[in-house]
Formats: sequence, structure tokens, C-alpha cells
Amino acid sequence: MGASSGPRLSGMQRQVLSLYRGFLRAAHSKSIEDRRKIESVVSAEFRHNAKHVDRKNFLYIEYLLRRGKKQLDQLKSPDIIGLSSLDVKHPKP
Amino acid sequence: MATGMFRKAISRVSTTPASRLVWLRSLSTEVEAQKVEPKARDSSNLKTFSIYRWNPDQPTKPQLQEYKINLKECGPMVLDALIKIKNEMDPTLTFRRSCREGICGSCAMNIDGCNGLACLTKIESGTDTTITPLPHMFVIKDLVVDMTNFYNQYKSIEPWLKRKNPPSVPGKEILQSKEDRAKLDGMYECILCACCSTSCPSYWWNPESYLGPAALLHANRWISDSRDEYTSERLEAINDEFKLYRCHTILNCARACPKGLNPGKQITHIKQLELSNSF
Repeated sequence: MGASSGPRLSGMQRQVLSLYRGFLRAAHSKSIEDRRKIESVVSAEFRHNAKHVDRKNFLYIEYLLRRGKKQLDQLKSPDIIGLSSLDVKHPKP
Repeated sequence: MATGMFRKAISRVSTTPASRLVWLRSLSTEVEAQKVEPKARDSSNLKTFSIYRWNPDQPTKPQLQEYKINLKECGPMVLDALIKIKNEMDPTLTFRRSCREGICGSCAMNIDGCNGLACLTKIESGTDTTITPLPHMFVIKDLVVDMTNFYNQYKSIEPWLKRKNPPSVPGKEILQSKEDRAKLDGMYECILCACCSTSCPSYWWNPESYLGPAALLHANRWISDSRDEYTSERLEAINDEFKLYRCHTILNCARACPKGLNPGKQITHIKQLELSNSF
């Protein structure tokens, strides 16, 4: 890999990035107003998990990937017009 | 009864006042114990359940948590024990259940190493039982697994009646002889609990490409249906090295099926039809 193609990524990192890309592409098929909202929700979720999930916790990252794929499949359907999120305070373990 | 026994013992002890004191004291502790647990004498049949726990909201490693249950105060089935734990000991324990009589297929799980429905599996009389989710399935939480792939495979065999000609009398049902109906026995009973598919080693290694015993049993159900007119197309659709021929007649499916069906036999039937179809 040359310097121009960026850092070398693991398979899981590439999966996460392709999931993020999938969300952005799915958002493109919605109206401009909804698209902005979807993009902000998705990016907030990804940035939150990137910061708070231990990068060695593969079991949990794989779970999040599967959950994300399911949500992406739902978002791809033309019947779905928007995405919103709810902030629930989880008690600290 | 116990107090009567002690009274007899006291009357037998007659000599020194010291010894009488000892007996009285033992009697009083016995009475106290009885006050606390009136039925304690014959009803402490404790059993340990080790149950797989994993919560995505608190992402630690999955672990087995132990619960001790008095079998004398619990129903006979594993599902009764699970419901008792959830009601009285730990409301965070998560599992699927619905009909509690083996017709919905929700409570499929791995109990002491064997797949089965918790509502149809008796609690063994031993001291320890381990309950884990269905093997080789993605866990959503505790004993709940992700069935998406399993249901998609069922969907892929098109489990509905397909006709080329409309029924002879418009708006009426398509009739079937008793013999033709009897061909569906041993297949229509399947409740799609996924016990068979998740017990199959071949399905463990190829869960995406191999359809698995449950979906193939349903494929055969529609292939064998006398009213369905797409038999050859159905056979063609699953005539695939992976979809069908990953079945190596291991027959774990027949062992696991809580409804007593034999998916392996139905798969063999499909294979025979495929052979006769190709010549």
C-alpha cells in the first residue's frame, strides 16, 4: 500500500466504513431535508461508537455491524422516508 | 409430627436436670426452624441452572450465570423454570416464549447440549442444567438469537401454492384426494423453530449457502403437494451443490426435532426426485 491510499485497514474497519458509505448512499435516495437529518443521525451514531467502543471488543463491534446492516436494509426501502433517534440514558455498568 | 417425636424423646430422658435442659433447648430451636420454613423438611430439592447471559448494552464477554431453583415450587418444564427465574429472581433474563405448549416454536434453545423447545423439555432430575442459545446463531441478547437468515432461506423456497391453471370451478378451493393429503403428513407439522437447522454441522459451516433441514423440509412439502403445478421448477431451483447437496445425512435434524419429524428423510426424497428428474 502506498502513502496515497491512506492507512492500511483491517477487514472489520473496512466493513464499518462500507456500512457508513451504504448509509450515505441510502440517504441520497430520500428528499434533501430528510437526507440532512439522516446523515446527522448516522454520523453521530458512528462517531459516538468510534469513540466509546473498545477497538478490541470484536464481539460487540460485530453485533453493531449486524444491527447496522439490518437498519440499512430497512432504510433502503422506498417506504421509509426518515430516521430519528431517541437519547436514552443507560445506567453505567 | 416432628414435635411429637421430640416430646417422646423428652419423656424418655428423665434423670438429670442438665440433660433435660439440653433437650428443651434443642426442641425450642427446632420449633423456631419450623416457624421459618413450614415445609422445609421435604421440599428442598434445589437445582442449579447455568444460563448464558450477554447484554449488548453492557458489552462485556458472555458468561454463564447460575440460578438455584427449588423444583418443588416449580413446574415440570424448563420453560417453567425460566419464567420463574424471570418473575422472582432476575427480570433482566431475556428469552422468547409464547404458547408454552410446543406449537409456536419461540422457545427453541440449547438445553444440556441438545436443541429443543424449553416448553416441551422436562427438567432433568440431576443437579445441574446448562441453557445456552441455539448454536452457531448470532445472539441478540441472552437466549434470543437472530433468525433473519433462517427466515430468508424459508422465504427463498417460495412456501406458497403456485398454479399455472386457475381452479376448475372459479372461486372454489382446489380439491385433493385423501391419499395426496396423506403425503404431506410428517411435513406440515413443522413449526420452524430452527432446532434442526442449528443442530446440523453442515449448516454450521455453510449457513448462508446451504438451505438447512427446515427450509428443505418445507421445499419438499410444496414439491409433494398434488395441487402445486410448479414441481419441476421448484426442483430445478434447489438443484444446487450447496443449497441441497450439503446435506450429508448426518441426521442430527431428526434427533433434534421437538415435533418428532424427520427432515433428513424428506431431503432424501428430494434427492431421489432430482435423480429421476435428470434422466
